[in-house]
Amino acid sequence: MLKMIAKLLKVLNSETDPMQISLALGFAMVAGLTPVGSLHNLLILFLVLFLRVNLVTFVLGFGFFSGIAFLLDPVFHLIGREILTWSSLNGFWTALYNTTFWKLERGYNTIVAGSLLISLIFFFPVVVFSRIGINKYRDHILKWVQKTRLLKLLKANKLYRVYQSLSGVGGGS
Amino acid sequence: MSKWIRWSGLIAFLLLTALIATFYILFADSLIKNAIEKKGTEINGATVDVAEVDISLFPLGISLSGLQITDPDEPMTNIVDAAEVALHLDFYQLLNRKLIISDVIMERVQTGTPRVISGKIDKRPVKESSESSPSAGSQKTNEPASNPTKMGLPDVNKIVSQEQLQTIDQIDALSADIQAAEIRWKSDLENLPNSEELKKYKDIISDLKKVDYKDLKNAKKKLKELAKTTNQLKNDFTEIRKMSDDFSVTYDSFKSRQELLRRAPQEDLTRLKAKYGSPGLMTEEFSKQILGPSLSAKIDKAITGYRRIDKLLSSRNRTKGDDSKIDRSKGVDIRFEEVDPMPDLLIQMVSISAFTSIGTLAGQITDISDDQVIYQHPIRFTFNGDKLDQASELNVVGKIDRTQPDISSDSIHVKIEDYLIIGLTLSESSDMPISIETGKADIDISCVLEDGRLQSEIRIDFGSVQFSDQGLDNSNELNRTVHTVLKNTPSFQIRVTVTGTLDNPKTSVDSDLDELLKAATTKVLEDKSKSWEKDLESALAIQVGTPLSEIDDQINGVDAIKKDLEDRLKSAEKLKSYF
Repeated sequence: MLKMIAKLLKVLNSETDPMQISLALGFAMVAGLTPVGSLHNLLILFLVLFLRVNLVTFVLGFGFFSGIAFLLDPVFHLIGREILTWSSLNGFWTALYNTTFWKLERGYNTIVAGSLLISLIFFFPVVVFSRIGINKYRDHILKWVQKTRLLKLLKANKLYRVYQSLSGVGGGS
Repeated sequence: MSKWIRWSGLIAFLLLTALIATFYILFADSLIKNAIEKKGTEINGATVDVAEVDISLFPLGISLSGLQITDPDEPMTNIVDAAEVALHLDFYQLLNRKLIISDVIMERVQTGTPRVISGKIDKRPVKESSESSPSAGSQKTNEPASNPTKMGLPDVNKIVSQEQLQTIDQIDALSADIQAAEIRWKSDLENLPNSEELKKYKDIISDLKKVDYKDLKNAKKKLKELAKTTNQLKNDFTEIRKMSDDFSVTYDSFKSRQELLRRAPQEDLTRLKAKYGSPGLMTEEFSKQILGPSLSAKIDKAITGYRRIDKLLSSRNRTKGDDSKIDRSKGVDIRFEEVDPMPDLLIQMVSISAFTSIGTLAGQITDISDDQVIYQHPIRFTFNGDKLDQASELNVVGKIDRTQPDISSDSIHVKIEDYLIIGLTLSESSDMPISIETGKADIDISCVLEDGRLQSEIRIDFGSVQFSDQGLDNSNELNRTVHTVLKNTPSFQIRVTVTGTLDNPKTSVDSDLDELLKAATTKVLEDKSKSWEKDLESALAIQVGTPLSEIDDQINGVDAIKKDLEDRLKSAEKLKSYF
C-alpha cells in the first residue's frame, strides 16, 4: 500500500506531462469499471501502450476502479437494463445487435452497457479535472510542501524511504 | 506529435496480443476439454468426461475421444459412451456468439457401459434400478398387493389379522355395553334389599301387627311404625320391579345382539371373499397381470428419459432474458430482433454409428437447437439397421417439435422385424415367473405426445416361442396349467396402449393369450378359490372364536344378576299382601 502511494506521489511529483497522467486515469477508469474481457478493453490496452500515457497511473487506476466496479455492478445492471430497454433507442440497439462487433463486445449485456456508458460519460470530466488537479497540486501544494519543514519530517518517515527507493523507477512517460 | 506516440508500446501491444493468442492456441485443447466437461456436467446433472480433445483451425473443428456421459439415475453407468466424436464449427457465427455446428460424427457409440468411477455429482437420491422404483405415473398401472386380480390369492391369516372385521367390532361394542350395564346393575342391587332382608319384612310386620290396644300410646306407636314399614316395603317392591323391567329390556337387547353375532362371521367371510378372492376376476386380463409390473417399469424408464430431454430443451429457453436470478458480475443479456435469426446453439446434423445389443445401428439426428421457435425446425432423428445380429431390420423415426411457443408435438415410431429373443423375462413375479427361452418377435411401437397428451401403441407379434421352465413351482397347479398353455402356444400377440399424461399414464394390455389362459385356468382357479375360501373361513373362525366365547361368558355373568333380581322380585311379590 505504501509502495503504491509512493509510486503515485512520485508520478505526481515528477516532470511527467499532467495530460499523460490524466489520460491514463481516464483509460484506467474505462478498463476498470467495465468487464475486463470486453472487446473495447483491447482498444484501451492498445491506446495505453501506443500513446505515451503514464503506465503506473494506469495500473494503479485500473486496480482502484476494478474495486469500485465490484461495488457498482448492481447499479450498472440497472442503468444498462434501462437504456437497453428504452423503446426510443430500440432501433439503434437492434442495428448494433446485428453487427459482429457488438456481439463480440457483448454490448447487449446490462452490465457491459451500463458500465461502458457510465465510464464514457465520466471519461472527459475525469481527464480534464484530474489534469487541472495535478497542475494545481504541482503549482501550489508541492511547492509549499517543499518550502516547509514538513518535508524534513516526511524525509524521516518510512513512506519517504520507500519513495526514495523507487526513485530509480521511470516515470512511465 | 511524436511526444504522444510510443512505438515501443505498439510492439509491446503486438507482443502481448500474440502472447495471449499463443496461450489460447497452446492450451485450447485443455480449455475446451474443461469447458465441455464443466458445462456438460452442469446440463446433464452427472459427470461428463472427455479423454482427449483435438482442435483443427482450418476448417474450425473439434475432435473428442472417449466421451462418456453418466446416467444421472445410475452413476456407475454411462448413458452415452462414444469412442470418437468429430464436429465442425461455423467460425463467423462463433464471432456472433452462436455455436453453430454444421455436422457431428459420433463413432462407436455405446449405451449402458459401466463406469470405473461414479459419475454422481450431487446428493440427490439415486434410483437403485428402474425396475424396483417406478415413478408415481407407472405405479398407478401396478396392481396393489391385495388386489383380487393378482395371480396368487392372498394369505388368509394376513387378511383376517389386517382386515377390520365387523364381528370383532360388534363383539367389542357389546362387551363394553355389558360391562357398563353390569357395573350399573350391581350398584343398583346394592341399594335394594336382598331376599333375606325382604323375608325379615314379614317378621317385622307380623310383630308390629301384634298390637295391644290397651296400651294406646304403644299401639299408636306400633301402628305408625307398621305404616312406615309397609310403605318402605312398597317402595322397595316398586324399585325392584322397576329395575327388573329395565333389566329385562337391556338383557333382551344383549341377547338379540348375541344372536346377531353368530351370523356376523359369515357376513365377514362373504365380504372378504368378494374383496380378495373372486374367481371371476382372477381370470380376466391375464396378460396385464403377467406383464403389468415389468411393462410399467419400462414405460417409467422411457418417460424418465423423455423428461430429461424435455428439461434440457425447456431450461435453455427459460434462461433467456430471465431477470429473476442475476449474477452481480454477469448481468442479463437483452435480446433484440435479428436480421437473420439463429438459435444460440444449433447442431445441423449428427451422424451416429452405435453398437447396441441388437447390432450396429446407423443414425442421424438433425436440427438440434436450443430455440426451435427461432429456428422453426423440429429435431428429427432416424436410426436404421439391416442384417443385425438380433433382428433382420430395425427402423426408428421420430421428432421433437417445439416450433410453436408453448406447444409440443413429439413422436417416435420404432419397427423391429424378426427380433431374436433369447432369455426374455415376461414376469418376474414369484407367484408366476414366466420367461421366454427363445423366440422371435416383430415389434411395432408408435408413440405420439401432443401438448402433454400421450397416445401410444406397442404391438408385439411373437413367433416360434419356447417358454422356459426355470423357476416354475411344480407344486402349484395354476403355474403348471399356465405353463402348459404357454408351451403349446408358440405364436401370440401382445398389444399395449398407453394413454393419459406423462404424470398419469394409463396402460392397457391385450393379448390373444388371455382367452387361451382363461379357458385353461378357470377350473384350476375355481378349485383353488374354493380351497382358499375354506382356509379363510377357518382362519376367521379362529380369529373370532375366543372373543365370541368371551362374550358368552359375559352374558352368563349377567345371568347371575338376572337370577338374583328374579329371586328378590319373587320375595317382594310374596309380601305384596302386606301393602
